[in-house]
This record gives sequence, structure tokens and C-alpha cells, in this order.
Amino acid sequence: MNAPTPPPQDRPVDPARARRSGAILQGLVVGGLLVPAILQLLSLADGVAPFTYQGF
Amino acid sequence: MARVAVQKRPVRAWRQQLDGFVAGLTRPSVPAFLAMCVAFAATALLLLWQFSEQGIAGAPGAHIARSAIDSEAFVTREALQLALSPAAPSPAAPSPAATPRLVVLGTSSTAQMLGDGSGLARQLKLTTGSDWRVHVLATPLQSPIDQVTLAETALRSAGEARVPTLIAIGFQVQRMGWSAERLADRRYRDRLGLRSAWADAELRDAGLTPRPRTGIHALDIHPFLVEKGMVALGRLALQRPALARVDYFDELDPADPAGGRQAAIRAQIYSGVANADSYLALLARLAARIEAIPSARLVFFEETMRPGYAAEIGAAEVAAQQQARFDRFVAGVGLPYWRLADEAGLSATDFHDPLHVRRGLPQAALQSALAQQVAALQGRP
Repeated sequence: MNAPTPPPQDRPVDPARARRSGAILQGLVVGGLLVPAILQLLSLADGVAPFTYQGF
Repeated sequence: MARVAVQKRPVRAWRQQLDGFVAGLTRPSVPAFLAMCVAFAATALLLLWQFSEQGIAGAPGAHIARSAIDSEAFVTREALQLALSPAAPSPAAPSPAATPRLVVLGTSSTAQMLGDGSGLARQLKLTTGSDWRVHVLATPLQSPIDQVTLAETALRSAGEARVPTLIAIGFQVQRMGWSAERLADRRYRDRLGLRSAWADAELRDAGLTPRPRTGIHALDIHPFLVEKGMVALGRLALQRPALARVDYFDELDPADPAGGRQAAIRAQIYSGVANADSYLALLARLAARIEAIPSARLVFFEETMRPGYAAEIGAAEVAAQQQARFDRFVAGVGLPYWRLADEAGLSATDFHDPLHVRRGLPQAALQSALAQQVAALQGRP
């Protein structure tokens, strides 16, 4: 005769690990977007005037 | 009164994980800050590498163009590929890949005339009997400083590699109108992602101050980087390089109802009267520099202008005088000047607008005329 199946148990949860993963994702996204943001600001502040074709 | 015990439902494991992840994602923390620093440094380094000379000439450089008609980006890349091409193993043994090069500098008129250069390469094969590598380094409203920069960059490896290189520079009378003030205009300066000692010397000669150099190419060309960096990173991330479209000028609206273009061309022709000496002196110095490289040769050719257009805008007399000055200049320095439109027998109907020929037969006729001139030049001592 088979032994009774033990009731299912949740695996131990480590919220700190999930929080760290979220924090790293936050940092990667913000850090990655920071460079284009700085470029955009420089283009405004530095007065870089892109060439526009005038038809001649 | 009996109290009813409220039994909390146990929070599921996945929900705890999700709450923790969201908390980490949305709140400032030390790990987030550290990750941000790492990502910032990595992205900045990626950008510096992409905009280095090797990066622009290599695979990441294919993603720098903002669009298919971003001539500055494509020309920068092609010039650097020429500059970084390998040298011959020894002076006695020219590089096996030493196919002669034709490097064409000019404006949108030249770009429209030659397209991607493949038609001209075929014509050169027919007329000279040998293979040629044609590099069309034309950009709209190309300035003489851009031409000096491109010539120096394209020739950087020519002497070392002993690759026969013919530099052809397009000329039309309104190009003499480049004054020092106009060269200093931000819209025309630093358009290319290149630095050139020759061009810096020319800027100083014109009373302008070249941008300081740091030794890091990406920083030395920072207007180019600032203008194109964001799109370049995006294209690199998505692996979506832009494909060049060279002769697209015959798709633009030829109408000029306000007369803006007409007035601008006329003003440039008249402005050339005062600027011709400095313009021709610059060309003379460029010619001397190019002729000092044994494997290089310089020629000029006439850029297209619709027959009779100078008269239409009331500048025929001045244009003729300026043309005569240029003719005397090329005769004085002993350099060829090819009037391709005359040789190709173009008429006003072959033009889409005052400065650009139509695609198809007019292009082919001009390319054939250019190829015949190159073949004739080869036959000369």
C-alpha cells in the first residue's frame, strides 16, 4: 500500500533576491538611457546645428 | 461580543517575488545605483568605440547614419575605410589589391551625376580596360574645408600602399562663394566625423580656430557624435544599419516658387568675386599637397548646372568672369579641368532642377564622359 502523499509545500521565498534583481534592472535601464539623454542635452546646450539641405 | 477571528490568506510565493522585484525596480537603492554606473560606463564606452576611426570604418559604423540620405555619415565611413586600408608588404611589391582608385569630391550635383559609382566603374572598365574602385565622397553643399578633409583622409594610406589614386574635385562658379564667415557657420562646420591636419591648417589660415584635439577620435568629432550618437546606438542595438541612397536629389521638388534657391545661388556667385582669391589659394595648396604624394593625382571637373541658368538668374556676366578666373587658375597650376556636361551634350531637358541631372541617360552620358577623360589622362605621360 502506498504511503500518503505529503501536502504540497511552497518553496522558501527570498524577496531580497527578487528586490535585488529589480534594482539591477532599474540601474541597467536608467544607466543605458543616460547616455542618449546626455547626447540630447548636449545637442541643445552645445548649439550643434545639423546641416539642412537647401536645394543647391 | 464575540470577536470573529480574521484569518489572513497566505501570500503566494510568486506574489512575494513579484512584490520584491517591483520594489527593487521602482525604489532607489545602492544596487540600482551601482548597476546604473556600470550600464552608463558600458554604453559610453560602446559609443566611444563606435565613433572611433576603426569603429566607424568597421561593422559598428554601418549603424551610424541617421537615415538613408545621411551623406555625411556614409562619406565619413567610406573615407575612413580608404584611410585604414592595408599597406603593401614592401615598396617593391605593390599590394595585390592595389586596384586604382577614383575618389570624387563634390556637392549634391556630383552625387546626382554619379549615383553610387557602380555605373562609372563599369564605364572605366570599358574605357581603360582595368578595374577601378570608385568612391563617391559627395555631400550636399560640400565646403572646400570638407574637400580638404576628405582628400587627406582618403589619401592617408595611398602613399604608403602605393595605390594609384585619382582625386577628382567638382567645381561650379557658385562654389567660389565660400567666405570665412560661411565656413565658420555651425551648419557647415564639423559636418563630417573626420579630423584633418590639412583642414585645421586651412581653418587657421582663414582666421578660424579649429576644435582642440584630445587624441580620442569620438571626442574630437563631438558635433558629429552628438548629432548622430543617439540614433547610432539605437540602430546598433536593433542591428538595423541604414542603406545609402546617393542620387535622390531628382526626387525633390524642383519648384522654387519663393525664389529662395535662385537668390542663394545668385548670392553665392556674386560672393565668389570677393572670395575667389582665398578659394583658389586653398585649392592651390591642396593641389600641392596631393601632387606631393607620388601615387596620387588631382583633377577638376565641372559640376552640372542647367544650360542658361546663370542668365536666368541675372548672373551670366559675373559667372563668366568667375569661370575665366578658374580657367586661368587650372592652367596656371597645370591641372586638368574637364567640362563633362559639354562633352556629354546635355541640354536643359536633361536637368531635373537647376543643378541636378535626371536619372538614367543624362547620368550615363556624364559618367561616360568622365571615364573617357580618365582614360585619356592615363595615356598621358
